Amino acid sequence: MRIKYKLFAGFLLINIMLVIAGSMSIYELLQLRKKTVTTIDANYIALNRLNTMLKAVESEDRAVLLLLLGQWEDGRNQLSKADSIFRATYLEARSRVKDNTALDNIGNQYIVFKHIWELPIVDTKKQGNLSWYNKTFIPSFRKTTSQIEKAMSYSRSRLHAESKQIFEESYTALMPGIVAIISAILMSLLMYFFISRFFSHPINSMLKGLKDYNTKKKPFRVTINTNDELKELSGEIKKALGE
Amino acid sequence: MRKEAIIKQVGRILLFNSLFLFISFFISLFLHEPSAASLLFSAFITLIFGVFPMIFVPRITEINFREGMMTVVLGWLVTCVAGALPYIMYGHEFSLANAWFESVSGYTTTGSTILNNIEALPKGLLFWRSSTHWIGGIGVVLFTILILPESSTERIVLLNTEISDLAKMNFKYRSKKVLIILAVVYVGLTILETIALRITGMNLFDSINQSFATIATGGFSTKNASIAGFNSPVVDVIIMIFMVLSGLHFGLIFNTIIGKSPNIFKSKIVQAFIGVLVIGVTIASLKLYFEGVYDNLPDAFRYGAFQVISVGTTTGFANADSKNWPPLVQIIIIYFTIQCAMVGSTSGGMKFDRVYIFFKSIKKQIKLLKHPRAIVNLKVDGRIVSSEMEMRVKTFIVFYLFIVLAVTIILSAMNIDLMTAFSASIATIGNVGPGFGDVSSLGNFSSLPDAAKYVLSINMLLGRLEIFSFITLFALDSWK
Repeated sequence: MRIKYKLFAGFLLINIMLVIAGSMSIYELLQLRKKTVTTIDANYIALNRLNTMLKAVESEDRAVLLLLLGQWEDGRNQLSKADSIFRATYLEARSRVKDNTALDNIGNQYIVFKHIWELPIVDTKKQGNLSWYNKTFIPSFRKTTSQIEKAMSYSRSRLHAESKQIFEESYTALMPGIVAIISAILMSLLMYFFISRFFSHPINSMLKGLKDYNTKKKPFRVTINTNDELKELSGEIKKALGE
Repeated sequence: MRKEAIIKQVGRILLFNSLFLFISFFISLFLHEPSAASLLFSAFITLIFGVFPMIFVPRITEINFREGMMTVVLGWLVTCVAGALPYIMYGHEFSLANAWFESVSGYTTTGSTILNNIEALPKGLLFWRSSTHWIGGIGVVLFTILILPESSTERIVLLNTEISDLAKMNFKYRSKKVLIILAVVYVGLTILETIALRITGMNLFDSINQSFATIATGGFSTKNASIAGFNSPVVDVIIMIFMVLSGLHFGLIFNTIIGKSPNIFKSKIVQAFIGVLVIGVTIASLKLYFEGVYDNLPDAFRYGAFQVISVGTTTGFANADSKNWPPLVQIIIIYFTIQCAMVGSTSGGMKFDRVYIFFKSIKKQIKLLKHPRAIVNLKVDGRIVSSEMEMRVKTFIVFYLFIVLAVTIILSAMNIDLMTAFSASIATIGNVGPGFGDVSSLGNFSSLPDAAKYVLSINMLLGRLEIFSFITLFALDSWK
């Protein structure tokens, strides 16, 4: 093989390796970026929506207290507003979240909870009845908030787990780069060794042979094993010197 | 010493490894596994490092013994590094120390693992794990020699370096024939076991992987519970048969097939090896039955025989956890862990032949004490063992046991309990795999400190390369 092809092939191999490593790292990093954005976005939205639902249910609690005090208009307005916020947020959350188990539990519990305060309170036996509030309303309210808090806690732990997974995956993105750097250093050392052994060394041998021929009249006895121009050059020198 | 000659041979070894890495990549790709990228990149790196010397180093037709020795040792080391690449890049349970340990354990056919959840590993990586066994089983260098030109003296030198003098005793053939015999028996046994396991209903992937690990006397299974995971007495029996066959001298198996002598039925050393195994199996199984570990005798024999044969052939598969078995059975297993299987097989460690020669040598010494002037020859299968060979065997055994002791002390210094330290030491130098304590047959080496994993990796390489060849790498004069 000609010298220029040997050197070209050597550099080409180093470059191929670096290109593959670079492409792999870029691909993994892009995947990682996509996943990081999706994870943060999904979990942030989920937590935000759950928080809105929690606030809506708490607002419904305050509205029921207003109804118990006989403030029908304020209470009903607040209830209606809180309920529409809850339902809108709930439906939006359902459309975004794949795992609906926690949301199903919230939805089912909310139906039970809503059924309690939906029935008339003002001008009924319930008005001013703290016993009904403590024994019937509050347990259902607590169950509902507890379901929402459970979902929030699940969301937080999922965020933690996904962050951990992203951290582990960053290792996969990092490793091709590290391996490529080490490999490139090793290949450079190998290349240096080969150039020195198969290019510099034969040239120096021929140079020494020619110097010895010129100064000491020693015969030109240089053997070149590389099957390239250097071998041809050595042959031509021998021919020129008549050996 | 011509470094370029060594680099070129090591390059060839890497090329061979890259082939299996590409196969593993295609498995991962086909199954859409996350390990595909790491396998592909590892395959390319290995291929590029293999091709690199081919471009620059001109054709070399002759290498000397020292160059051959260096090629073998460096070939093993570089191969282990290449083997660790897919693990390192895949991550998860594979830290740097874990990846190196798993790779060395695979190539040296030790079968010790650091994995807590083997079944969670992608199939491509599982196949690569088993492939390291299969490549290492016959010797990474021997595979490469197969692709060298027939006339090349490289082939003869490398073959002589890779195969121990003892192993050569039963090969009455020229180097080319020895290679063919090794390859035919190795590949033949692998195909036969795969077919046998498929017939039992095991899927093709598991059959191939268990066969790779059995014939290489490795021990990496695709199940967390090793062979116990298949829970099939038929599978146990098939694997037991192939474990015994893989523990025998391949030259003798070949002679048996073609009807030549010496063969496995006539060889005294094979008879002795099988005899010792039968005694070990019988005592262990009866003890397990009478101690009430198993309610019935067939079960006691099923589990007792499997564990003893697995350790006695240095395979390291498990169909039960021997950690809580009676002390006598544990001692039997420890004895077989030290003794190992026959030379000329795929097993590593001390080898039964050395133990056999050692005991024959003791008999010879007793005879010489009685008759000091007598000429007593030590014979193995009708052939006289030279005094030089006898001396080498004794030196090897002493050095081997010294290393076991040294590694046990080093591991104990890392606060590892004595049973774990000792059994890990004998199990790794013997290329057996499991030991007792924390590293028992259904356990793993993950709990050991990283430093211990590196020490045990060296131990595995020492066992595989039969100690002395490995040491030559570090003898600086041999590089001059």
